[in-house]
Amino acid sequence: MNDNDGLSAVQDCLTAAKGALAETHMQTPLDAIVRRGRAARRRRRLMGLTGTGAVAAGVALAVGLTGATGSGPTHSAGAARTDAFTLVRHANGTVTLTFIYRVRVDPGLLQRALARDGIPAMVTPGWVCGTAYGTESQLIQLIPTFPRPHPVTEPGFWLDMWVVVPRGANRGQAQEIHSFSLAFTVIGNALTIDPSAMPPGKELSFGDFADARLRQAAPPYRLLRWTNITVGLIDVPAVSRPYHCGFLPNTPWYKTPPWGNPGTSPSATRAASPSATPAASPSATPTSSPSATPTFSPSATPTSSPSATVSP
Amino acid sequence: MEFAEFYESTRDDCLRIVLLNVGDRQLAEDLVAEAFARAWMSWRKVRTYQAPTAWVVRVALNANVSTWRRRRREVTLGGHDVALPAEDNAVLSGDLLTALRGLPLRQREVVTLRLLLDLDTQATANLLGIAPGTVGSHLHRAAAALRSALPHLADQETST
Repeated sequence: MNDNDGLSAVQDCLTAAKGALAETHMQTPLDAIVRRGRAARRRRRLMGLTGTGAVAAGVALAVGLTGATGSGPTHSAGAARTDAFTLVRHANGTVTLTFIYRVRVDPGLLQRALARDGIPAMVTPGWVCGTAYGTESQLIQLIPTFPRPHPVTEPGFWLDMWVVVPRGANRGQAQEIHSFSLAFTVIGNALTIDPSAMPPGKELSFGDFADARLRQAAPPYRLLRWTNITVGLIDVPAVSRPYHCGFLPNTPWYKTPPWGNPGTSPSATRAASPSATPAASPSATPTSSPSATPTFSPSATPTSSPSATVSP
Repeated sequence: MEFAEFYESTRDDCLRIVLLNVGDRQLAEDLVAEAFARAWMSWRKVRTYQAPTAWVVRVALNANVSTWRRRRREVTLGGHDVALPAEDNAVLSGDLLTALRGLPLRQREVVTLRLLLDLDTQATANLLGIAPGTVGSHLHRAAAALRSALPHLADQETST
């Protein structure tokens, strides 16, 4: 036996393994590749502008922090600014949402600001939501978008993006996931959304986990001062159809959420109109704390919590 | 060659090779799509390469490494982000996958390019930016590691 014999045996083995995959085919169509390339090119161009943008964002942040005392956003000519986020609409129709590190987002303000810029979204403190799929037993599942599993953007900031589909759905949802990723460009703590790339019949669910995690964390975890924004792509429901909301299941901090079922509760309702605004600002109530929401249960009525009830 | 023609003629091959390396059907598809998107972005340059297919495979494998590096900095959220089992994963030999994935990245790249894409030593060396002699040493170390991890390979050799 010589080295060539050894190599050819290895090569035969690998070739046979590859041959066993003869029925495996790439499902991604050419136009999806081209769209992905274009999106990456746009990101690259934006990165080139980051230096200039950072200065502008710094000025905006300084003005925002000195001028705002937790009040509503200033919103004119396609721009909104609060102490927790800024929202800027560009000439090409895209909208850039920039989160300020470690400042809690007021869900009501963010939802109204997004609605003004034509981005249908539901914003909730501490949980992500999905429309109800049948019964409570059909738990929603969260499929992460590429790049998997979570695009960590910068230290201290963590953005998760999910597509929420019925339990049991398979990777046939890949096209939907891809469409979702096309609607977003993430640079640092800024999320650029292209409303025209949003899949039809879908809206966004924003959740802010930072506060809840820090409160519940064991001492070592307190060092992890993340701003953790979770974005899910969900179906726009029929009027008054309930949402199911919950913390992400099985997190180190939420092995046993207060309501017992990490997947689906509490429920919430809102009208189908994307421009709906919250009836009560969740941040105006103490219900962002899990311990302050004792009435939540999988069977809770849709209006069991003011913070989870959104009306037009 | 136009990009569309290149994509249609090579995408399945690239997917299978990357799948052999990563062992997860969905991840492999994502990685190959990302690599082809990068090839599209730089097509004027990539089309002039001696082996554009090998370039795509290498970009996909490196993107996988980047994903893992990124993941190391993250906090685990439990099992909800575990990839769903795919049918294609079942046809892959667990031993072979484990052995391949146990190789250092450079050795895996050399094995992939030389044995799966059938590039010659010089072309492999050019693509990886290393000396032809280094390609040879990586290849033989990788082959030795695979033989020791897969006893049936050694049996085949002794029987020939």
